Amino acid sequence: MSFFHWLATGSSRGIYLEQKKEPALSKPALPFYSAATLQSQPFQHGFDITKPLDKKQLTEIAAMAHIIDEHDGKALAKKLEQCPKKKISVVCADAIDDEPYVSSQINPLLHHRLEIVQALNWLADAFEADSRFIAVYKNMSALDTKIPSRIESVEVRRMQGRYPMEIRAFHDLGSDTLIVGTAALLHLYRAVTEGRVQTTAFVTVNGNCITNPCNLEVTIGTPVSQLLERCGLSLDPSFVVEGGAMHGILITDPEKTAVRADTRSVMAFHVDRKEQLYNCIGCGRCIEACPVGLNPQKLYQCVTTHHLQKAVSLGLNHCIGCSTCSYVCPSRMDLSYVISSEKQKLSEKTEQ
Amino acid sequence: MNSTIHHAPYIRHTESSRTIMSDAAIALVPLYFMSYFYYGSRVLLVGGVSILTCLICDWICGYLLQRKLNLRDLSAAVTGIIISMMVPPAVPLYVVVAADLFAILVCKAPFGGTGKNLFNPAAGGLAFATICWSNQMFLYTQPLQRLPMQLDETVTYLQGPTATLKLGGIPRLGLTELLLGNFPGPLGSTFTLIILACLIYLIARRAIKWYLPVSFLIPVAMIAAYNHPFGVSPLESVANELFAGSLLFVAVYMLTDPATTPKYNISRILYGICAGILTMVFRYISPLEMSAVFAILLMNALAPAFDCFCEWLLPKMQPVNNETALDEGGNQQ
Repeated sequence: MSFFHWLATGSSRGIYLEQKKEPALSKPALPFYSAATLQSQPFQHGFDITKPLDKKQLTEIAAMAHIIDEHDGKALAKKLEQCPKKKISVVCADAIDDEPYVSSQINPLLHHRLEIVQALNWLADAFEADSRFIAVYKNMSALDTKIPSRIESVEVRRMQGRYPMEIRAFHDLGSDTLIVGTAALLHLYRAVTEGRVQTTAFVTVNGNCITNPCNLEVTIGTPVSQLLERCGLSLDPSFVVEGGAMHGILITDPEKTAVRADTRSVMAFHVDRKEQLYNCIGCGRCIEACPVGLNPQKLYQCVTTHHLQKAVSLGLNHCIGCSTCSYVCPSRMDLSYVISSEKQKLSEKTEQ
Repeated sequence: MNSTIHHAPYIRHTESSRTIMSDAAIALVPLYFMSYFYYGSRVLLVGGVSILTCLICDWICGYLLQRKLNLRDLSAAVTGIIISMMVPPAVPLYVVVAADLFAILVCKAPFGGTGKNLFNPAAGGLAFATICWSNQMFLYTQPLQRLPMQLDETVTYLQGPTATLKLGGIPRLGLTELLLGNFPGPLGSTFTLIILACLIYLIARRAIKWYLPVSFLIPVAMIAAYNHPFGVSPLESVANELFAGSLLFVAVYMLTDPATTPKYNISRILYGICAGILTMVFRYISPLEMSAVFAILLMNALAPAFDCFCEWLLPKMQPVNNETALDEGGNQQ
């Protein structure tokens, strides 16, 4: 960051979030299966796994096991199929959980190291990639477990950066990189060795009113309310969220919401209502935190007073919707929601 | 479970408006102790009356505007403390109450309450009191003499070193006295050492930015050093100008009020420099002793203009950086 950049906005390109991953991270993922997992029939892929598998075989196995990559929510088989069009030089296992509370990618990595690395090696060998590594977020404080620097001679790369870091890190890696989530790699390993179909997802259950935060290996289709019951609620939650605490989706009815293959976390939060009655005091912290150097406070003013032209000239279209401004706002304003929904409206208008 | 009005993000930083305001209040309270040591328990009466007037007035205004009462909003209390710090210890209570009422009823509530005020309420109230009761506002008393609760004939009024400076004299106080605030002056704004300690606390808590007071004090110090009176070394002149009145207090507590300062770094620095120069202009030309408060009030009016200037300047200053930032924003969709 240059001096001029600081002089202009004071922007430091994002913020460091308090990670709060413990104690869920250091506990091994507990199984929480229903009949669908226990009674699922193994399939026979019929390939000789003593020899190295090639691309086609791996794709076929991934398709048979119905593996969904939790990194982007796409089917792993489709991702592998689309790959041969371009040369893959780097294969990366994504264990970056840069959002607070979530540890559903790094937790399987720590407790099923060998399986995941084996699957990563298969993929990298099949694609004849030059390098392979496991990406882990570096700025995690107060961890009980030590993250190794190498697993079976595969480098564990500690990626550092301020939130929102995951998008930017993978953006920098370029298009010749194949990124696969660690949970998907574990499912691939199980499919190859045991012929198991993916019936489970790794889910972190966490939040400030969960009694016993932990990672669960949950059968897909389990209602979210059962997960909350399993981990216990110490307070009546104000709301329940699926996905990260910064980006997630609100669950209005936990009874009727089921765990999907790409669900990474379920969180229950209790908030103090009285903390939400403040006006903006103009402290300028949102400007410092904004990773793209916008002025969220002024954008918010422009949007709420319907000065659209002004908002666009201030850079409304460059908002990446990372919610950093809302997070740091000491007056608890819904800056990010207002700005990004206005941006969406605007883009819909221009499309018409 | 009421989940209708929540949007991402679902977690928030632990610091809220309340912690920012209570930081300011915490950094102001030590000044009361020193003031109590110098002037006796009357200062607590002045402080209490000022805080209560501001708070009650703020609540009533909120009620009239049909807002929900928020007891955690401490900004009115901070306004009250600042006003009580800037008046003389032997000031009649009605002057303090009038300043409080003007601050809340004219400078704060009509603009929409906390955060929306264009002018610093404390500065507005003090300016009002200074203009209306300019005699009482500059009659100080000797420190280390306990003041009676009820003002009577036993109180001897003195002129402060700022009046001496104004008349072109030299206070000759010595650095120790200046740092300890041991001279006739306002109730709580002359204790340089304590203010500096509180400044460090506020900077460490990220409640204020270090470059705001610094950019304000540097032009003041430079002008004072350049324009030093005959027979006084430049450094002594700087110390007199900075520490003999309430300038440092104003720089730490009033200039840095988040609501009335510009929002960008560069405009904040420009704002501080301009306020410093304006303060010195007022010091040398205007007939009133209290110059920094008026300078800040005038600069408050210009704060949005500084931001606009900065918005115009930003794209010109760093075309390369800006473009890369925009590219990232565009591609991540």
